[in-house]
Order: sequence, then structure tokens, then C-alpha cells
Amino acid sequence: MGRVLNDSCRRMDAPLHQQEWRFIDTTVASGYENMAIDEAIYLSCQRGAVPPTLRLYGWQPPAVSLGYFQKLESAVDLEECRRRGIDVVRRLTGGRAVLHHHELTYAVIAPENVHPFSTRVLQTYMTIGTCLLNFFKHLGLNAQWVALRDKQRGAAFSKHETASCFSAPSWYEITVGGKKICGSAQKRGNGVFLQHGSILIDHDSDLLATLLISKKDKEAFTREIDASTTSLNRHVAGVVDLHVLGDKVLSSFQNTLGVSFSRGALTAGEAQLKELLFREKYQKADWNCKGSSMCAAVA
Amino acid sequence: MFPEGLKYIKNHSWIKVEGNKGKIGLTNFAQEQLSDIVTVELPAAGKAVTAMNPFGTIESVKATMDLITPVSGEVTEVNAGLNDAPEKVNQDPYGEGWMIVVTMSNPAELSSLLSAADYKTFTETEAAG
Repeated sequence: MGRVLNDSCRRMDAPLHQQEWRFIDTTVASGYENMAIDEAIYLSCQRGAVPPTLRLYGWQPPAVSLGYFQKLESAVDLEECRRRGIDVVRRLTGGRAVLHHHELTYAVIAPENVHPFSTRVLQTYMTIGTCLLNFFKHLGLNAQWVALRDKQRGAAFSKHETASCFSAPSWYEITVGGKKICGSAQKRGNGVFLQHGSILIDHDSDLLATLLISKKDKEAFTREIDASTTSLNRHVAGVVDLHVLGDKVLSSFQNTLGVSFSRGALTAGEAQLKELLFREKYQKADWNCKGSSMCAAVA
Repeated sequence: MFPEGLKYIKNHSWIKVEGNKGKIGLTNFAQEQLSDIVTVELPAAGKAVTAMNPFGTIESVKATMDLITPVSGEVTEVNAGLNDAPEKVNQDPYGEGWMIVVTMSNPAELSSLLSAADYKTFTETEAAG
């Protein structure tokens, strides 16, 4: 697909004011379906078939997502997840495990050189992060970029002391009161990027410490999560409606990027691709276990 | 750092051609963008690869990225040392950080690849952002 796809994506590299972006409004789906939708959009964008897209979504049932390279057996207590009705799904993106429960998830998929993005990874994080920062500020939160001290901490944690994404702020992520409130991950290929991330509405440190595996004992792991993680409900009263939050996220992206978004849905091609990916990839143990000896236990 | 004598693609792979074989790796520009690389996933020897398609995946502390082969053929050598030392891609992207050797099935594909100067220009303009 390579060059042909890449060139077709390049054709969409018009100035933003000439290009309408697509907004796919908040839907709630399983982790398998959500990951299949994100990849279907990503692959369709590589084919030049769809415009830059912002998608918002929730998760039902709750799910733990694993980073692309993360080892299942050292990241998550599979039996505990199954006992509690929590799915386990592997992401296309890297990083560490996330419990998706009370959250609004965003996904941005676009050709990597569409202004104001570029092939520069950090610039993309910064641009999307500015949209999210403005969203949190609009809600009245004193949200800030991760400080250098925390970046260094994030680098230290990248050696997998803990399986949890929210235990380690990294570049251009957003904190409130020094605690991470939004975690993001990025995938790049054939001139297109996918960045998705979790905006925490509420979080349960005890549950997370029960589901994920850490070198620390559960109490210490819970304390670590409490010390590093916060969520909207700790700062704003009555944040429950995903659609209300979603409209605010959309407004922030529109105002920050100066982009016009058109509400839309998956194209027929994307819907077909999503069904294929859902059925043949994200529901399959082969993908979710990625070589783990525990493969038979998933999906 | 854009060594002469190599060919490049906009997906940030380089290829060094010797006879009907091409040694492939990730460019210095790309490794700088990705920052600290933590995992490299490469194909097994014997696998067939198709030009401008993914042959592997790389993960850094910032992002994961598909590795794209500039040419079609069969993978005949794999740099297994990257399993234990993925940081070699950061430290020496054109040397010890090489990834695979492909025995080319269609050397004519080389004619469409970028020179060092062309790739340098690409990184300074299109990719600059």
C-alpha cells in the first residue's frame, strides 16, 4: 500500500481553512469495537479516503487496554478481569495498561503533515495537548503541562516498574495538582498518525491496583496510583454526561485549532473494515495475548 | 546526518545496496523524533516483504511506528541484537542499529528511492512542521 497510500494522504494536505474535519460524536462500545473503529479510521486515512477525524467514545463493559508491546502476563491479572466482567484488549498504540471505565476517550487521526501537525512527534502531542489543556481550563481546572521533574520521572518509569499508564506522566501530558488526568499514546505509519487518550472522569485506585500487576505490593501500588492520578470528579461537581463533556472537547478543538468540524459517521468502507478488524483481530486471543502462554484464556 | 551512498524513503527508512542485497534501517531523523527506543519488532529470516509496506514495528517512549521496507524481496538477515539492545537504533542508526537485510526480488524499485540530498530536503521542508 505504501507509496500510493502515502501520496493519496498527501493530497489532503490542504491548509486547514480549506479542509473540513470530521467529528464522530460520542458512542459507547466494547473495547474490542472501540479499538477496531480507531484502526479502521487510521487505515482509511492512510488510503486518503477520509478527512482528519476527531472521535470521542466511552467503554461498556469496562476494559483494560494493553500497549502494543506490553506482555500480558506481566501487566494484568487476567482471572481477576474475567471475574469482574472487564475485557482485556491490546491497543495499536504503545505505552502501558489503562483501565477504561469512567472516562471519555478521544482519538485524533490525520495525515501527519496536515497543518498544524507534522512528522515531529512532540509537536503533535503539544498541539493536541493544547486543545485538551484548554478543555480542562474551560471546566475551571488549574490544568498544566507536565513539569520537567515529572518528565524525568516518566522516563525512569519507562523501564516498566509498573504496568499502569497513569503512574508515569510523560511529554506534553496534562496534570491537575501535579497528578495526571489525561493519558495519551500515538501510532504512526504511512504518513498518518493516530493519537488516542483517556480523559478520566472518575478513577478507582484500589480496583486498578487489583487488576494490574506491579512489582510493588497492592497497598504500595494503590498509594502510587493515588499519588499520580486524578480525575474530573475530584475537581468538578456532577461530571457525568459523556455527551456534555464531548461537546466541550469538540469546542476546544475547534477554537484551539481554528478548524471547522462536520459531524459525521464512519463511511461504509470504514464500517466494513471495522467489522473485519473487530471479528478477525481485536476479538482474537492471537492479537490480545501476542504470544503469551495465557493466550487461550482471553476472548 | 544523511550519509551519502544510501537511499531513503519518506517513511524514514534507509537502504544500503550491495549486489542484490539491501541492508535496511531507520534514519537518524526518525530516531531523533522518536527519542528513546524501547522495543524493536522485526520479521523472521525467510519472510517475504513488499516495497513500501511494513516489515516491523518500533516503540519509543513517545510513540509506536511502522517500519517500512523500501524494496521487495526475502528477509535473509535480521539484527537480533536489537532485541536486547534497542538503544543501538538511537546510538548508531546507520551502523549497529541496522534492522534487516533483504535479498531483492525487483531491484528496479531502487530507482524511485530518494538520494541523501532529496531526503534531507524532505526533512527540512515537508517534515519540518
